[in-house]
Amino acid sequence: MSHLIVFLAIAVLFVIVLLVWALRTEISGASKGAVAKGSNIAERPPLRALAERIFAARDWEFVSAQTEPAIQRTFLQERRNVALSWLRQIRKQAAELMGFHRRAVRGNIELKPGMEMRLVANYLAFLFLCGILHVLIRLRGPFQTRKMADYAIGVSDRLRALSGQLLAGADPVLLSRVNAARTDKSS
Amino acid sequence: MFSSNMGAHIKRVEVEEAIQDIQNRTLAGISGDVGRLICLASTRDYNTGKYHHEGLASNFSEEVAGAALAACHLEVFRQLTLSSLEDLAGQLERYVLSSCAHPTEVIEAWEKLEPYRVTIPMECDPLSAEIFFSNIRIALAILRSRREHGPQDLQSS
Repeated sequence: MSHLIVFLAIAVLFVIVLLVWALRTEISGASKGAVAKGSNIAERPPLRALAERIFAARDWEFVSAQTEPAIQRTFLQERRNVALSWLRQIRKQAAELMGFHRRAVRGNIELKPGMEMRLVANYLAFLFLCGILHVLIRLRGPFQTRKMADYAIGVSDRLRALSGQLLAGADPVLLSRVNAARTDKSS
Repeated sequence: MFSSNMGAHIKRVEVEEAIQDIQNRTLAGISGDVGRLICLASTRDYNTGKYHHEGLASNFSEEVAGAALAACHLEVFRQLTLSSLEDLAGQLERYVLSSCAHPTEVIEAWEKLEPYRVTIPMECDPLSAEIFFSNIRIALAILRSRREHGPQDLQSS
């Protein structure tokens, strides 16, 4: 039993160290647009702007001051559903980005294993955050989870930037081919 | 290559001019973004999703007029989607009061028939549409409640 506890403690410590290492990655500004150019991410919904609306405490302050309890309950339920949709969307975008990255680096002999590891660790941290956020939105509603949503957006931006940094030197023809294949598949 | 770039640039300039025209003439006379959204959505064919405006098409071209109307529609929709619930409720109230019908009738029809569902632009993403529909539903409930109780009653209760 004590062996199991020690093993679990080491595993948790390892995960924490991995996440801290991954999340402290400095991203160069020049590479931030690389993936957006290659993967059409820029055409997606403005998730940051929408998050500011969905998680805005101002809306709840207005509803709680101006309306009766029945409308307040309906509003909380509606906003919770919208926040969960937003969360699904941000996860979907990250998964698409990782899929795009995987296809783009497949067969690339100039892989940077350290950076790729950071990308994977960031993605795992992102999925972990999304899981916690999902539970918190269900339990406490969207207005108590604003900071965490901001943090999830930050990690998602970091993912994009890391992938951009890794693909900055990749052949643009290959990137557009991968992107075209992805677009054909999704349409 | 050069001529196709030049052609795209000219078209973009024309679309910009057409947008200015819509903003200065058509939309300037409408008070509130909800009214503007409905006006722009009504210039679209339900079956094809294409926009048509007689005057604009005669000043520019059918294609330029359609692109300009689509751009204005998307812009007004974005503004409404990203505005606070308080602002949206205010805009909706202004629209309801500007209608010829009795406000209670308008609110009831909007709650039952949900005509706002056909006012979203074709290019909008599903999440923005979901936020917009949700906020309109809540804004309608607030307006109905205001008409039944009055804002003062609600604040004191």
